[in-house]
Amino acid sequence: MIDALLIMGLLAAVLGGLLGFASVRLRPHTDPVVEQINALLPQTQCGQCLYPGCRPYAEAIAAGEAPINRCPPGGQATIRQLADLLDREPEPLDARHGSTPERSMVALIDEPACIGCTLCIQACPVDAILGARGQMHTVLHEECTGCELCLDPCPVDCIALLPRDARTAA
Amino acid sequence: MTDDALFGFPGGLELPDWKHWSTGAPLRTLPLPPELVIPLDQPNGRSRLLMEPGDAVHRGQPLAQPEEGWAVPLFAPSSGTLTAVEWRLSAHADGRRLRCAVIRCDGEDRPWPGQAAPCDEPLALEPRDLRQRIRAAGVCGLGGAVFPTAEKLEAAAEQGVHTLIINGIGCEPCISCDDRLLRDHADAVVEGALLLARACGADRILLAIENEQTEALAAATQAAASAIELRTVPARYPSGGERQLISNLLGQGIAADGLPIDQGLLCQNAGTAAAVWQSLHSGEPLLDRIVTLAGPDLPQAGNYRVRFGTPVDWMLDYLDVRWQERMLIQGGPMMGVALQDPRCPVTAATNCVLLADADLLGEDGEQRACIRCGDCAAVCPVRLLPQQLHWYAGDHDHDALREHGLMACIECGACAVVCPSRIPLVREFREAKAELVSADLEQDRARRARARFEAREARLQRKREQQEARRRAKRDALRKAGEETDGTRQDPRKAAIAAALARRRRKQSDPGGDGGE
Repeated sequence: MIDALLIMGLLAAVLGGLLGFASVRLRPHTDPVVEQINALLPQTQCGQCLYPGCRPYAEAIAAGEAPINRCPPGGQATIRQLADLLDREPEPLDARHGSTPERSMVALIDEPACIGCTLCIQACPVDAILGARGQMHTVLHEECTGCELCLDPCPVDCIALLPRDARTAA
Repeated sequence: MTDDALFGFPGGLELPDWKHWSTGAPLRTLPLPPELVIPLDQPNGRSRLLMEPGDAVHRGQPLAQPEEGWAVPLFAPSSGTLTAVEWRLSAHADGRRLRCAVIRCDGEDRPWPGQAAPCDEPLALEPRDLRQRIRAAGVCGLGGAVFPTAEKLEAAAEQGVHTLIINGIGCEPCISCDDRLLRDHADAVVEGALLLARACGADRILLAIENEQTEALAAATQAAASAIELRTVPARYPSGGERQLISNLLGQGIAADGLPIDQGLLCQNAGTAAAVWQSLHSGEPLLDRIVTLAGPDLPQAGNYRVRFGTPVDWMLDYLDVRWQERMLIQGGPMMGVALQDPRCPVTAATNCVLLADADLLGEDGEQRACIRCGDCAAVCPVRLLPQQLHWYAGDHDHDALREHGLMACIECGACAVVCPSRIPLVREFREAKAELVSADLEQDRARRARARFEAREARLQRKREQQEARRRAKRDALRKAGEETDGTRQDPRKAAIAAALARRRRKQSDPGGDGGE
């Protein structure tokens, strides 16, 4: 009787210790659901979902704070994938956040008009604008995601959005 | 010599052999047109123009050099003036525009004084020199893929190949340029094959010819050196495809994502071999190619040596062909593309100009629903399931398309020809392939954007932390300095003022010191 109690008690203590150790030391560093959601988002970093980038939006979706239909660049395809992943009903895109562009767009700076204020450089979420104070700026069009965040801060409105293939041909 | 020891290839089908349309007459040379158009954007890469509009050019003068991807150097096909660089419609299925150099010919065809000296004994050259000369001559694959020959040879020499296969099989019905080349210039093909083998280090050479090309076979037999083994294969489309030919001759399969080089094999087109021999022998770069003109009831049908850049409509007008009411196709009836603009120039990829009265192979007509007969799967030479791909392409199901090997499709068109429901399968597959490629591109872009976004976030975070650390360090330093001067806690601001005053006194007492403070 005592033996059985001892053995069971010891077993419980050892296993409990193991589980406690695992929950502290072997815990995954990030929430994998966030990673999976983030992988489906288009990484435009445009902030049209009202979160400062794709990853924060992914975190909000994972936490159940945001609906899955707020990403205009991803459009219906992304919503469908998110619905599949999270086992929810797909919803139509929330039009208040914008509409899905038909073609992939990139920013183009009208370089002679640029005054070199660096405001667009600070606004660019993917560091795709090159330049220095008082020097002409230019867009690395291969890296540009077409998020439009540089349009608003420009004091001389010298940035325009063009279809990506037109930009390559120009 | 006979169909001995052939291994066959999966799928394929018997097609009417329309080569006799154009094989009757011997090879003729087309004269110079008044204007030549040279696309600077090549199918596998881009090149940079070396001249300005207005410059005078000579025949064989370097016009553009490779800039991006797999491109070959381009040369002025004749003498005259470079008049413009413009965007022109190309012979692509999607009708894209290409940057083209336009040369107005002066008709004198003067050679460039700076061109390489003719080489009487090219076989005596070192393999490395051979490859260098082939590269400098701008030779590319004339079978249709126009991949730079020198790049292929370099890769082959590096990895080591044992067998060189010269493909003398016309890849499609109607196209007879290789057949006519073998009949008229078998010696050039043989010499070129020996040069290619030396350049890549292969010690066995196979020359493959279709068994119905009896005259080409006779000419090749006469010209073939002892080092060359002749092989005939039965006419069964697409026996001229690279992988199908290797499977047929050697019984070896090449993985969909692999290359023949991985197995010590190198394939070159017969036209390419002749071009190598010609350019080394004459010292002149590749300036022309043989183009088959074919079509039912076309008396002018035949094979013509045409200078690169010759507009197709000029060629047809010169030969007095009434083409206006007929469909123009660049390439053969199976894999060719309809020319959207008859002014498109002849390039290294133009193996055939086909005048068809729609429905040559009966693949047009009213499209009906798939009845799952499976005929398409039976003829597919790559063992794909075209009917499944057809459904997935309709659904834009990228994962399923990839799993079912869409990217391995060689677009031979066999499935579309046998389809009883007249489904334009190859067109669907081309579009789906383009979709997959652009999806990959998007994926790659998203991955980069994510990495850049995260790097920027990390940098901004680091900057904030550094600023905070500097602020704290300064406050601590000031506090410490104040404690040291009088041993008690003191207002750091007073300490800073005191320190500044002390510095100023030191400077005044020592004017020769560092005054840059």
